[in-house]
Amino acid sequence: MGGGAESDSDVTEGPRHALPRGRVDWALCFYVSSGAPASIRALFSEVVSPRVGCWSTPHFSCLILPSSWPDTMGVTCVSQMPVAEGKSVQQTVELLTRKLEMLGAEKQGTFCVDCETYHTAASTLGSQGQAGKLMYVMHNSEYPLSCFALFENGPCLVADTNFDVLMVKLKGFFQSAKASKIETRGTRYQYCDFLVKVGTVTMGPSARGISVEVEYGPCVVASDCWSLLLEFLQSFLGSHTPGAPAVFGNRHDAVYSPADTMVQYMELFNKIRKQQQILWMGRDLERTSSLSCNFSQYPT
Amino acid sequence: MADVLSVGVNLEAFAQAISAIQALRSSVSRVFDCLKDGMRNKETLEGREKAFIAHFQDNLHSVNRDLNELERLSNLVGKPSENHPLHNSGLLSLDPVQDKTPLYSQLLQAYKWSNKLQYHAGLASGLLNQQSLKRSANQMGVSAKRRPKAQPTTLVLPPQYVDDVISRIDRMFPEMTIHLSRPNGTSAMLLVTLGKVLKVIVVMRSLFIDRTIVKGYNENVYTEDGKLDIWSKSNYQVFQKVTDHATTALLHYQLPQMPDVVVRSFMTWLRSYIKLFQAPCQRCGKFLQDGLPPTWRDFRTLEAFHDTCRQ
Repeated sequence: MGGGAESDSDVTEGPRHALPRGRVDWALCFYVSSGAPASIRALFSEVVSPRVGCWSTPHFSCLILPSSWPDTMGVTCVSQMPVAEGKSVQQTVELLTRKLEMLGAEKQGTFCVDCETYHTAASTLGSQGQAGKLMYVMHNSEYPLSCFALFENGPCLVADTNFDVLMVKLKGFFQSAKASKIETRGTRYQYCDFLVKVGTVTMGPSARGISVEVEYGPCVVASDCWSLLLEFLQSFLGSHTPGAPAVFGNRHDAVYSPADTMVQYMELFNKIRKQQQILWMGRDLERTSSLSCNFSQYPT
Repeated sequence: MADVLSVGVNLEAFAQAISAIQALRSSVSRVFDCLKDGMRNKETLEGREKAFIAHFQDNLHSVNRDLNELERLSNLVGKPSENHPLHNSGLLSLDPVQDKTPLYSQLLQAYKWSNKLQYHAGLASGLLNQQSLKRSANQMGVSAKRRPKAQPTTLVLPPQYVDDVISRIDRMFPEMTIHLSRPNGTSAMLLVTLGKVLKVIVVMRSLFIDRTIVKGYNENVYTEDGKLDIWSKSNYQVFQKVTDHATTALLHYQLPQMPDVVVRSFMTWLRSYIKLFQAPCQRCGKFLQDGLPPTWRDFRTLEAFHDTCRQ
């Protein structure tokens, strides 16, 4: 990254997993490198100039995964738990947490992961005929000082939380999708070296599903401990135990990073969104077919 | 039968001897009585002196006679206890009521037992002196003179030799990297990184391993001022358990004559943790027990077991 600044960030560290700053980069370098047209460069000078008064510091730390990322976390598996037959989302969550407490897990506060979708504005699409890419900007309460920006199948950017402000500045190039905010909230449970987070996924006002995240802190290589993780998942998810997440297969024995967890959450949210779309489409079909039935009752 | 007879004879002699002792005592006390009374009841001083000396002589003669009599009798009595290996306590065997007071048989057993104990203790101390298991020089206080002799072989090795041994071990195991540093004088500290599984801090004194701490691969092993943190333990229960087992291994692998072999055995054992999260327990076949993977590695076979599954 060309614009690597020499100064280290002076941001204080967060509670757990505070992401350390190995080196400091200008956030826009990421954007420029990920295929922005040359016209962006004009904006570049505006953003970094001291005239932008909304930041306490003009420095902006940013790292591109995986090459320059120094931090690690325990191997984590994020999965969806289907809602039990004849039960509400809330009841299924309670069932699951009771099972965890029976196992001996201890409650340890709450967590929240949220995700907002952006799509590239039509005006910025170059003449090369690039398709509009979706970008997801996510936050995780486990890393309160960081913000994650992901492309589907693309690179993952880990930045300071004031990246959100930058996104406002960039609204000519990335536009927020309407009512796209999706988040999961719930309780953290600690069992031995395992950290289990059971959350309710909500889109707008209504609950759409259940997310289960299991982190095994001591191990940092996904392929090493998948069997062990699977045994633990089976102990409380039973028949709903998921298969190995796709991110496990991608990088053979690389060190697992927080960004991998965010990718899993992004995939989970997309899956739930698609399920909702299918549900709505189904309902629409039902409505139209019932209408046509009604019509058929009338003689033409 | 002859025994009983001789005892009977002796008993008679005893009775005579006792009365002879009584006679001796009374004659001796008469001597002192006479001395106490002094000279009296005679008109002339000469008469008094003569009577006193005669009386005193008589008394001494009777003492002499009684003493001779006692000596004669004591020869008759003899020394019956001398024949017995237990000396006087052997006389307990003469007690006719064996059933009520089985003192003698108990005494014999205790005697045998203590004899054996002494014999075995002697053998053990001989063997232990050949193979000194003492890890530190301070404890060799038994013979302070020998201490300087024992030190050169085990505790005072040139740092260059320690470096050589460690670098040889480092080359032996490709998945293990060993970083050696000497922050405080000549004692080496090793930071062993095993694959992407764990890190071990090993504190050495010469080629003796004094302390080990096992931590996770993603845990910080340095203090704020950049030194190796040899005091704080791992945040994860699994590595706290492995630390305990590693300390057990330190005490298990002991060969004071060849300290380099000890370090090599320990490292070989440690290397088996490369599969800490991948190897199921050899006994129950499961990965988890109370939320922990199989943390124990057998010292000989290096097989994985849960702490509670090993013998």
